[in-house]
Amino acid sequence: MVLLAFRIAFRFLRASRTQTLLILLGITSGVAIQIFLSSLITGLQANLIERTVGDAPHIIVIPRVQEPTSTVRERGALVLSTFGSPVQEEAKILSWQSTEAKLAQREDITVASPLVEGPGSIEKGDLVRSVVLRGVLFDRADRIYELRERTVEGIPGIGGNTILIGKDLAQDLRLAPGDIVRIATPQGNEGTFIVNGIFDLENATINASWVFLDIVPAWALLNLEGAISSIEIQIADVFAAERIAREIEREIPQYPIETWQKRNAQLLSALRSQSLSSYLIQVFILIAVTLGIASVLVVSVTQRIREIGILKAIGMTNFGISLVFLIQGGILGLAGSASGAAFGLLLVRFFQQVAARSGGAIPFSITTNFTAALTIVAISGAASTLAALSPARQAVRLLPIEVIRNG
Amino acid sequence: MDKHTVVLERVNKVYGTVVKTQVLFDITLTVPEGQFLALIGPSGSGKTTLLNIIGALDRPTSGEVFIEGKRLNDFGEEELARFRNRFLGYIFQFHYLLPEFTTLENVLIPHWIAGGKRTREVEKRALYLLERVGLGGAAHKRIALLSGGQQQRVAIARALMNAPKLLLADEPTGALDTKTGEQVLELLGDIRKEYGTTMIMVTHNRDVALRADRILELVDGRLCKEVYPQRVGLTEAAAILEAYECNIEDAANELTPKGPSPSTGNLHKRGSKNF
Repeated sequence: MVLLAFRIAFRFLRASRTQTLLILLGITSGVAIQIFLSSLITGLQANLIERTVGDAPHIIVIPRVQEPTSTVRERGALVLSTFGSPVQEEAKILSWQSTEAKLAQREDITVASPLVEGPGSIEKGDLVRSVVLRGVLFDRADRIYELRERTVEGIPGIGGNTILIGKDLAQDLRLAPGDIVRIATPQGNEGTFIVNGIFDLENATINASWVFLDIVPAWALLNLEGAISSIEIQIADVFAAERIAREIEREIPQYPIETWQKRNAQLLSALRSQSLSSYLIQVFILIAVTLGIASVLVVSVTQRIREIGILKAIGMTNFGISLVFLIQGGILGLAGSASGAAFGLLLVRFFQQVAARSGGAIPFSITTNFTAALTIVAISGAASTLAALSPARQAVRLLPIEVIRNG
Repeated sequence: MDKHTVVLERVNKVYGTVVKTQVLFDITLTVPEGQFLALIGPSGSGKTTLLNIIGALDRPTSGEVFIEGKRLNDFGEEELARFRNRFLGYIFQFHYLLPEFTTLENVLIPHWIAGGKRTREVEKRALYLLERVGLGGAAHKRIALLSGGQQQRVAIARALMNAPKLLLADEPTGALDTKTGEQVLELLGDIRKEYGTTMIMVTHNRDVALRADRILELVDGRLCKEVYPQRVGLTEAAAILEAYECNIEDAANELTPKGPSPSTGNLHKRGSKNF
């Protein structure tokens, strides 16, 4: 019976060639668009996330804000606050080496880079600009910010009294590698530094305000003496950040942890709504394809009332008759979505080549998402079979005597 | 005693739920194995409905139907379908062949429905049946390329494929010209004799009916006349058919007071126990 249902389904489809071809074309284009769209969105988002967090820390260990405990400054001088409030200490991580050692044991962490950060001003001649001083261990920071690659002028490296400054700051102060500047901090410390190189982190604010220097002079300038402001962490899988952050939090409960997701909530919600609209489009394409198949099969039932009637009269069961139409739906769905998948992957390939040849005009490439393609093919196939349910029921309801009586 | 292929017990058929139309009244009837029975009657007399009930295509509103000893009332839809496939062969006014399949494949379809494979023996049988109906050369032709008479002959071969116990024919020559119709009837007669198959044929054509072993005429849903043409002779048989009066008594009784419902106590005995 099943074999016969297959045979009849095939013959029916072959007999109404034009209808079959048209609906196959419809399914093909629907599925191709679905696959291309999903690949495009996936590629676009991956690219956007890479650009956002690729050269930035994924997880940051920050110090807990200190509750004011005394009115005595560190240095020992007793100062009564003018406004009567107790002295608030700079938040910092004191025992960072042990914390770092714990982090180093985790295999999913690519790099953990200690950071000594604070405000300062940079002077060249009469020009003064306020900057963010970032004292780092160069090799570690390089693995997060890719400073070597991103140094556009001069030598990528810091140590002793050499620094790296941003492109916009350099322009503003007319600084070139080799120039000497003075850096002062609100703590009242100052020092003379040599500009070693100029970096471009593709972010105007950062390029105008960040100054990378070695961790040792940063301690001196910011009065931090061996403590650090935070530990910046990069991990292999950016989307595991929340999970890893929770695990780190359990290991070092004394420090709060921040993830890139928390810091880029807006980007993430934009990505989510983008995904949502892409899903919505795909759902509507799926509905259109399904309705197309259903309507073709309903017409096929109407056209073949007599044949269905006689098949039932000579003993084909309702199960067999429904199978004929379900199989037709399945064949249309599978063949259509298979050719749609091939066509969609071709579209993706085409886009990749156009993007590669565009010379950066299309600043991202898309990857073929085989899992998504398979999912789409499976869903379309299933939907097509479901689309055949209503025509199949129509065929089941048909009474052979009605057909025979009415000729 | 002869084996009975068909036994009907007080079969009634009412169409419609709001406006009820009764088309068959208390039909009680037996058809012995191997008999060729012609059902005749004016249009609307219920002969096709009766044939469909015997053919397990329709169910009676009340009464029992036994075919080949099986009580059809007990069967569900799918069981009925399997029963039709296994025991019955149909020839309709229109052939209803599947144009998507070749002649040979159309003949094989009942076998496929039964779940059979396309073995060499099966194909040989189908080819033999096609040859028997004179279409051995058209086995691999498309149905659309055959003439009306040829198509009806393919339908006969298809009806015979599963070696049915009972052949049901509803105006099998209705859509054919006289000459072709004649050939088809001859063929049916020959095949029936050859296999000893019971056959019930609905026709409005008396000449066709006179070829049968037995003729039953229905009038307004009741059995009215019964004739055995070979026993009484064709002239006498034709005369009985011409006559106005019914020769089955209780049907005649009921004809005069028009339309008593079968449930309001009727005097119906088994109408035709004359074998």
